[in-house]
Amino acid sequence: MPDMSSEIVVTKIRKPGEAAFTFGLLAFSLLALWLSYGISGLASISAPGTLPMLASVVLVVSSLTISRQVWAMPPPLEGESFFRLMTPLRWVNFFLLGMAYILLLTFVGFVPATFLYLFVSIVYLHKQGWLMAFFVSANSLAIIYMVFQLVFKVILPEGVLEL
Amino acid sequence: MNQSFEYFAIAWTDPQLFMLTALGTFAGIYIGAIPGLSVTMAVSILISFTFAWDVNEALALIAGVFMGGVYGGSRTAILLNIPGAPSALVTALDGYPLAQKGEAGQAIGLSTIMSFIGGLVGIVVLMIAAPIISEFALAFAPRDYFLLAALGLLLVGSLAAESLSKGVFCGALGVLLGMIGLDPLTAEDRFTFQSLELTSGIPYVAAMIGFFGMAEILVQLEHLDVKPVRQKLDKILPSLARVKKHLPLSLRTSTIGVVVGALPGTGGDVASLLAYDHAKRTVSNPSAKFGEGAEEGLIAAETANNAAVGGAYIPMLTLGMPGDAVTAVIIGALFIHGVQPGPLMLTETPHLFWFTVGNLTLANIFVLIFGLTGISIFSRIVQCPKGILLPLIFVLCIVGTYAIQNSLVDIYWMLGCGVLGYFLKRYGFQVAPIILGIILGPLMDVSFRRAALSVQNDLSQLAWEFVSNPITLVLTLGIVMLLMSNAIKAMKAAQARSG
Repeated sequence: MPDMSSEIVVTKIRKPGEAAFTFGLLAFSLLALWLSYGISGLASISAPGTLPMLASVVLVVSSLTISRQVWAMPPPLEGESFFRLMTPLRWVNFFLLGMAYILLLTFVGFVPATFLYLFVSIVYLHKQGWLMAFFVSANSLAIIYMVFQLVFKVILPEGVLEL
Repeated sequence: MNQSFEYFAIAWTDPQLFMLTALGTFAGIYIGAIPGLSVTMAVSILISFTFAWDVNEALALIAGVFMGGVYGGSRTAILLNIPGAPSALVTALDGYPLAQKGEAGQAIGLSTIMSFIGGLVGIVVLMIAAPIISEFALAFAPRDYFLLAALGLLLVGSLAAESLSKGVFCGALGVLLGMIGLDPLTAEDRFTFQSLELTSGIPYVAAMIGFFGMAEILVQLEHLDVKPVRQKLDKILPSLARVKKHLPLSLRTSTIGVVVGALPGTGGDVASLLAYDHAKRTVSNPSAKFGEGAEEGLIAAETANNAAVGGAYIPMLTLGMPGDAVTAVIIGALFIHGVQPGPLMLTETPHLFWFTVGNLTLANIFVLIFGLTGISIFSRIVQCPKGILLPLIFVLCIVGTYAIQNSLVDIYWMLGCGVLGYFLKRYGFQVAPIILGIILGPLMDVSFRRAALSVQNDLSQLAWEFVSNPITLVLTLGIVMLLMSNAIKAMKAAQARSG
C-alpha cells in the first residue's frame, strides 16, 4: 500500500526520461482539454462536453502536480540511457514477435500462427532447446484450442488463407 | 413458506441442475483466474449456446460461473499479482505480498473461506432484505450515482498509486477514455476523429486485458531470469481461531459488499474498494501493514466482492436493473427465456426467485469445495518458467481480446493499452484507476447530466442539491473528507521532513 506521505517525502532520484514523460502527460492533458472544449464548448452543464472537460481539468491539475514533484527530484545518474532502461533488447524482440504473430494470424489463421509464435518465443525466452519448445508449444496449443474452440465455442481468427 | 423452500431446493435435488451448478462454478473459478478471460465474456458466450435450454438449466450454469468467477479472480491476484477480474484488483494489494512472503496457501485458504462467508451474507440479504435494499437504491438520484462513482475513483486513486496525484491522473484518464465514442444521450461524436472504429468507444475488456495482462507481461520480461517465489501451498486451511478472529470484520465488509452490490451500476470492484478502505481505517492492529500482506485487507476485499454477487441480484430481480456488467448480461438471458425481471417477479414467478436463491447458495458451497482443492495446478502455473508462461499468457490475451467481438482492431487496442500501461507502471503509476474510470466514466457522465437537466442546467441549484439532500450530502462529505485526509497526511509528512 503506497504511503500518501510519498506525495511530499521524495528522496528518490528522477528516472531517465521521467521528466520528458511527465511533460508528455501534461501536453496530452492540455490537448485533451482543448479537444473536450471543442465538443460543445461551455454551452450548458448538461452538454456532451461537460464531463470530458471536467476530467481534462483534473488531468491538467494532476499532471502539473506530478511535473512539480518530478522536477524537484535530483536528476538521474550519468550514463543511464532512457532507451536502454525502458526498452531492453528482450522487450523489443518480444514485442516484435507479438506483432509478427498478429500479422500471421491475419494471413494463416490461429493454429499455425499460434504454434509458430509459441515455438519461436519459447526457444528465444526459455533457452532450453527447440525439441522442448516444440512439445510445449504443441501441447499448449492443443489445450488452448480445445478450451476455446470446442468448449467455449469462441471464434478464432481464420486468416485470409484459411489454413 | 413450504412452497418457497421447494423452489429453493430445486437445484439441490435435481441431479442435472446440481451437476450444472457444480460445472459452472468449477469453470467460473478457472475463467475468473485466467488473465484475459472475464466472467462477463464467459456469461455472454454461455448465453449464445444455452438460449435453447430450459431456463433453470441455463440459470444454474450462469449463476455458477458468476459465483465461481468472482472468487476465481483472487487466485491470480494472489499468485501472480494479475487480478483475473476487476473485483479482484484490491485483493492483489495484500494477497500478492502474502504470496511473496511464502504464505500463498494460507492466503488462498483464507480468501476462499471469506469469499464463502461473503457470498453467504450476500445471499441471505438477497433472500430476506431484498425489498428494503432495493427501495433504498431506488431513492438514489442521478447526482448520487455521479458522486458514488467519483468517490470510488478517488478511493482507488488514493489506494493504488504511488501518490494521490498519480492515482487521480489515472482515474481521470480512464474517465476520458470512457467518453470516447457516441454520446449516449445525444449521439454526438466525442473524440472519434471521424473514425468509424471509434464510434462504439474503447472496448473496456480489451483495455483491461491490455493494462493488466499485456503490461504485466512486458514488466515481467525484465525479471525473466529471476526464479519465481516457491509458493507455500501446503497449509491451505486456516485455523478456526484465525477465522473467528476475522469474523467481525468479514461481516462488516460483507455488509458493505452487499449494499454496494445492490446499487445499480456498482459491483464487486467498488464494493471491494470501499470495504478495503473501511478495513484500513478501522483495524488498528493489522497482521501486517496494509499493502504489505495484511490479512485484513485480503479479507475485506474478498468478502465484499462475493457479497456483492447476492447484492447485484437484488436490483436485477426486483427492479429489472443490472447491479453490474454480469447481471446486465443475465437480464438479457432472462429476456431470451421469456422471463421479465422486475417488481412483479416475486409475485408472478416466485419459483424463479427462490430457485435463483437456492442455486446461488449451492454455487457458494461449490466455491468453498473447489476453492480449497486443485490449488496445486495453480502452483505449477506459478512455478512454470516465465520463458514458457509469458508467451502462453500473451496468446490468452490475444484470444480473450479477439473473442469479445471477433475484431483484430480490439487486439491493437489491447496492445496499445499494454504498452501505455508498461510505461505508466515504470514511472510509478497504477493502471487500476484507469480501468475503473473507463467502466464508471459513462455512468458518471449520464448521471451528472441527468442531475443537471433535473435542475434546468442551473449550476447554483445543482450545487444546492449536492448539500441539501441527506444521501447526496453524505456522499459529498465522503469525497471532501477523503481529499482532506490525504492533504493533512501530505502536510504532516512535509512538516516531518522539514523538521
